[in-house]
This record gives sequence, structure tokens and C-alpha cells, in this order.
Amino acid sequence: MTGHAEKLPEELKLVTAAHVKYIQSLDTKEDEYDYWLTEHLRLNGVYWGLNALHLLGHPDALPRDKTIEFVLSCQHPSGGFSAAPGHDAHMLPTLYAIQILVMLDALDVLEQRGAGKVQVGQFVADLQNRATGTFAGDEFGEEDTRFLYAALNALSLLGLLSLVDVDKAVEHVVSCVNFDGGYGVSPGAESHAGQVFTCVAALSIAGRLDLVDADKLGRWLSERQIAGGGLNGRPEKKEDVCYSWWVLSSLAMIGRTHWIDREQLIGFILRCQDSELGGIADRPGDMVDVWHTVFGVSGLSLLNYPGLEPVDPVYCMPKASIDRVMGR
Amino acid sequence: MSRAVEKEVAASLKNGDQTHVFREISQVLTQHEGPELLEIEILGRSHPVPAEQVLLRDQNAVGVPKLRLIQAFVVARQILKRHAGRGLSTPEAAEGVNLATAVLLLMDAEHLTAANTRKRVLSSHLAAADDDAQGRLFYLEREKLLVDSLLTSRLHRHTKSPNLWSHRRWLMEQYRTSRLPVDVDVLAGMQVVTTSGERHPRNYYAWCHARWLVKTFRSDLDEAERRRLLWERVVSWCYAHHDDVSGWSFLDHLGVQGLAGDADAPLETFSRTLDLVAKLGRAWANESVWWYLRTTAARLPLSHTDRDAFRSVHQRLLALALGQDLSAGRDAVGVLETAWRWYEQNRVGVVGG
Repeated sequence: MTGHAEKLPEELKLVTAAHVKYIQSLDTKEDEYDYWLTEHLRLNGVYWGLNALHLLGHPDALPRDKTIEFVLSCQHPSGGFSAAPGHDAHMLPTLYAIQILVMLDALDVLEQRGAGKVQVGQFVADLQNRATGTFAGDEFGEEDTRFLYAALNALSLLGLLSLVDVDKAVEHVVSCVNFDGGYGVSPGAESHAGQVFTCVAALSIAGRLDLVDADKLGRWLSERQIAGGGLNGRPEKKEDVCYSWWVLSSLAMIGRTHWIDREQLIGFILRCQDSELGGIADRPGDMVDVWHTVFGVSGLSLLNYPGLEPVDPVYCMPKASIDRVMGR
Repeated sequence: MSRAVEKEVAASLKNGDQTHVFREISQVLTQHEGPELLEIEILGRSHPVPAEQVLLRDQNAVGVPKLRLIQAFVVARQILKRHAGRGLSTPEAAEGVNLATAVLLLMDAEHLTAANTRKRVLSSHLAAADDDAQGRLFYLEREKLLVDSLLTSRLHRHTKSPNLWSHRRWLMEQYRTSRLPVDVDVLAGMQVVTTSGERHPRNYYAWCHARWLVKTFRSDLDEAERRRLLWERVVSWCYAHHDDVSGWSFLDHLGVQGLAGDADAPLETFSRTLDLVAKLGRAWANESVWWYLRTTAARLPLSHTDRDAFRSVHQRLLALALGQDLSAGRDAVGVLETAWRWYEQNRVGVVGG
């Protein structure tokens, strides 16, 4: 794998320095319009950017204290976090807050200066539908396996999985498997690579990967690779770099990454870079953004691209951070 | 439309009072009476609008220049910020927030707080109209006009937005629980789904909403005739959008849920589709059609006769694809070979006959 990467032409290498500069440039001033227009995704963007920086080997490229301050400013009395101060708390930004603090090795600030880990855990746990096992995103009740995964991810990082009914959550995930081998957002929903990731990762956290029909799922996932090496999320969709993460990590979790052409995928991801200004786009030539940047980099890490920190396929975070918080 | 702001746009935003821009755009969004939906577009630089005009309007068609929307957004954001935490105790506050959140959602469909705030405002209206069914209906219908206009627009992000589809789900749940004199019409809801699905192919959350509708308002499909109507509409949609796996997936779902027109509708439709594939040839050797065929054939299960017909069509199509120039035929060959392999591995059995 590494041998192949070294043989790539100069224009098809990972432009790490440019990506670092690009991510740093997203930290714009508060009186700028770009900042306001993306305010409702701010914390999401910090997690995506910080994760990418860690994997690129530049964990200190964003100011640590300022980042922690910002995370804390997003916390609500309920324990949950919003994407920005003054916005509504929700499952997803709550997960991102925890992931950011774990990467910064700053979970303790939750106790020292925040609402406390248990309060955060309780916010997440209260969103579980105890009858069905699944999770809502907030008080308004939208249920989606993304939120189930976010809950198990967040609680396992906090060491508070006992606050929820994990068995029931597992039952729910199993009910989301489809005849075609994929998983959807809820029972009977269309199979979708993003939902596959959330379901398989949730089962992994719960220690129940044995419940996955790995061959059948692997077949569905392997059909996501199209000519050119890129991956899509569903039949007949265009390839998109973010699926380099969701499809690939799912295959990694079930031990079948060799069921796709990994070298072709590396080539595809690299072609999605803006090699001058940094950042990665959904497909070659399109405009870059931090979302596709983090998933492109994470995908390359999973593919053992040289010079990258290993990523944990379950958590989409540096393996080192996960090992540290889990005491491995 | 990207979230980035070009430098010259940012520069011109710093000039002038933008309140009138906000007022005009927000009123267009929230005061439309229907019943037809608004057709909203956001205009880029290639659509010049006279300098003094805020937007273009032709009955229910509205074109908002991006620069104007950003100006309105700046005002809307401030209004929401002002009211956050202070509650919506006065009618003025509620109306201000109503206008502001409509603009915020037009600017970015994923603005969670804007959608949630609309839920809170609506809930308080519904509570205040506790003994006034017509009043409750008025508020619900007004909200549905805005949401459905955004979901069926030609705005690429809005049509697929999980946030907006979630909002619609919550809204329809209010219809269900608000003791209204009218029942929810599933077929009307499906119309929103299919229009949105057409604007945005493979619209995952739109078709999730469809599943939720038929499950939550299943009683509206008690009559076989209603189910037949729904089934045929979905089949027609699939035939008109045969490269859209979401349509086929929903059709499959209806069959599995026992919501097909008649008990033999899934098999009948399978055979009908197979005939179509035989006639149309390579154009229908695409992944979505063959996802439907291989899944349905494997699950049904098929009789010997039907299985032979299936294999025959498959073989003819494969031969056709193999016979063509390698680059043109390669995708089709891959799809067909994979499909048959999958079918053989997963079919539940062949029944006699």
C-alpha cells in the first residue's frame, strides 16, 4: 500500500500543509458574514476540522484554550450542547463537543467548568425511546439511527453507557437491517451507506458485531465502488468523497476492506483535493469544504496512506485519542 | 447555493439599512394564502434584478436575489438572537420570530434552531386556539404552505433537507393530534414527496417521510381502491424515473408492508416491469431497475415459470450488453452479472408452478 502511494505523481500526493492552512482559515472572525451564515454548524465544523488536523499530524494547529472555551459556551443547563451559543441543544452537537474534548484530552473541563459528565450523559440518555430502543435528536422527537450511534458513541466516551438500555438499542439496530443487506434510518427504510455506518458502528460499540451478516453487507458495500475508484452511498448515485469514510469504515469494521479496490480509492480521494488552496471536495473539481476534507483524510488514514495518524473506524477519531480515553 | 459569501457581496452588505429587505422577503414567505404553493428560487448573479427591487414576483413565483437574502438573513439572525431565551410572550415577538425564522430557513434549510422555534411558536398558537378548530387549522395550513413550498422548490439543499422533512413530520403529527374536522390525506402528502423527489433525485428523507405517512395514517389506506391508487402512482413514478432507486425502494416497501393494491400486485408489477425491460433493452439495464428486480424476485418467491421468464430476459439483456463496445456495455454487464449472482445467493426458494 505504502509502496504504491510513493509511486504516485507529484500532483497526486496529499498536500498536508495546504489542508492545515485551509482548516485554520475557517476560524474566521465573528463579524464576518461567512461566520454568521455557518453559525448553526459551528461546533460540527470544529469537530470536523480538529479531527482532520489530528489525523494530518497537526493536532495543535487550532488554539486549544480558545477551542475549549467555545465548546463550553455551547453547553446548555440541560447538559446538552448546541452548534453555537444561543442555538438549540441537540444530540449531534453534544456528541461533537465530547469528541472535541476527548481529542484535546480535556474531558475534565466538563466537571471543572461545565455541567458535569453525568449531566451530559443524562441529556443523551433522556433521548432514548425506552419502548423501541432508538434515540431522538431532541425534544421534538425525530428518530434516526444517526442519533442512536451518536448516543452510544458519546456515552461510551464518557464511560456512561449504563445510563441507557444498550440491549434495546441493539435490538432496534437489528430491526433496521434490510433484505438487500444494508441498513436504513429506521426499520423498513432504504439502505444507505451513511446509515450502514451508524448501525454497524453502534453494534461495534455495543460489542455485538456478531449480529451483522458480514458477507451480505460486504456485498452491498462493495457495490458502492464505481468506475474511477470513488464510492457512492446508494445504487446509481454519483461518487462522493464522504462515502470513502462511511463505506470504508463499515467494511473495516466487518473486516472486508479488501472487497473494494483500495488503491483506486486512494487515487480518487487525492484527485478531490484542491492542491493549491487545500481542502477536499466531494468529487474532483468541485468546491472544497471541511466536511469532505475530514472524511477524505479519514478515508486515507484507514487506507494506511503514509504520514497520517491512524483513525478509529468506529469513532471517526484518532485511534490514539480513543485508546487514551478507554484506558487501553 | 454555497454557504460562502463573495468579497464584493460582503462589501455591498455593509451599506444601508436592510430592514425593508427583510420585511419584504419575510412577508412574501409567510403571508401567502395558497392553496397553490410558492415557487421559490434564489437568483445568482446571472439573474440581474433592478437595483431598487428586493425580489421578483409573478403570482406565486418568487425570485430572491442571493444578495438580498443575505441582507434579510442578517436582520433575521438579530431578531432571533434578541428573542432567544426571552420567550414569545407577546404577539409582536411571535410574529417577529415567525418572519425571522422563515428567512433563516430559506437561507439555510439545516438551521435547526429556526425550525424548532417555528415549532414552539406554532405550539403556542395551537394551545391558544384550544377551543377553535378552524383557528388551529389555519395555523397548521399556513405552516404547511411554507414547508411544502421549500420542500418542492428548485432549491437543491432544501428539497433533501433532513431538518425540513423532520419539521414536516412534526407538523403532520400536529394535524393528527389537533382534533381537526378534516383527516390527513396520504395521497396529497405523497404528492409533496414525489414532487420533491423529482426535483432532487434519490431524495432519501423525502421517501423516509413517505414511509412515515403510510404507516402513521394507515387508516386512510384501508380501502383497497385507495391502496391501488397509491400503488399505481408509485409504479408510474418509478417507470418515469427508472434510475431513481428511492422510488423502487419505496415500491418494494409498500409490497412488504402489505400496502400493495392487491395481494398479487407485487408479482404482477414484477412481471410487467420485466416485460418493459425486455422491450427497452439496455436503457433499463441500470442498477436501480435491477436492484428492484433482483430483490423482488428473490423475496417473492417466483414460480418456475416466472423464474424462467426472469432468467430469459436477463440472459438476452446480458448478451446484448456483452456484444457491445466494451466501454459502453461494461456498466450494464457489471450490473447484470452482479444482479444475477445476488439473486441466486439470496432467493428464498422457487415454488411449484
